[in-house]
Amino acid sequence: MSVIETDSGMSPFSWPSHDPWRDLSPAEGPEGLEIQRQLGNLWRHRRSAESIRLSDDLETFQGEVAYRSIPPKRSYVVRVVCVEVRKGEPRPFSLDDLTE
Amino acid sequence: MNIWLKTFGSDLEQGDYLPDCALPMVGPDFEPTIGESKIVIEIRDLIVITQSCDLANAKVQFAALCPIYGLDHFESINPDFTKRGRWESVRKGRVEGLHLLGSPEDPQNNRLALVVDFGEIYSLPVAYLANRAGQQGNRWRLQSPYLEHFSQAFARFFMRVGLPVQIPE
Repeated sequence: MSVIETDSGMSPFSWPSHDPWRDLSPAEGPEGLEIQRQLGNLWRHRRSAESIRLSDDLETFQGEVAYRSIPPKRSYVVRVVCVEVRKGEPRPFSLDDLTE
Repeated sequence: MNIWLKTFGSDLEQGDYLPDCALPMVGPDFEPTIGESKIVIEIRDLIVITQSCDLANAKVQFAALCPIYGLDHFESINPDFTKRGRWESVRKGRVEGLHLLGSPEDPQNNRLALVVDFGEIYSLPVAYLANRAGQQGNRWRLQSPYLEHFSQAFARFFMRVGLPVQIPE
């Protein structure tokens, strides 16, 4: 399963990385215990769902990837005057780097 | 560590991001007859791929550049890239011709990343590019080691050798 990179130290999950209610003072009474249990279940469910979504997003496509070139941001036609300059001459090429 | 550094002035280096450069294009029926003719000017955002040492020592009069796009722009033409796993393949270097760079403004936001298309290589006069760079005020320059990673990716793309017959899988 792919794992998202977290160079920034930020969690890729929208919820805390551990069950935040686990660290609270123990609930008292049957209602409090039930609420704490349900919150834990909710955290685990949410965390699991986000893990699946993240791994899907990061899954590498194995097939061949083709793409079309992108048109320019804008383009326009200009009139130019063509001047005959014959074939271009070679440009001066320094050999300074090759001399010892 | 920053991926990009803000710079200004007309000095050019490999990895310089130059928005809105003008590229003169000739069509298939272009005839350079003496007199008036027409050419198309395309405006593109480009990134310099010529080596910095060649630019610094005036070894070249033309610089090579590749187009660079935002992911949304690229996806608008290539909707397949909105599908799951496509950008991850590019990020891992498995798509020939494309290279991802982190966003200059918000490197942690991968949706603001930029993609370079090595499949289109343009050449423009260094003098024009230097003048253009000088007009732009603050602009972005790719930093090491992302610069070397980018340069190596281009080299790997360009040095490919196609074989007439492959060893069967």
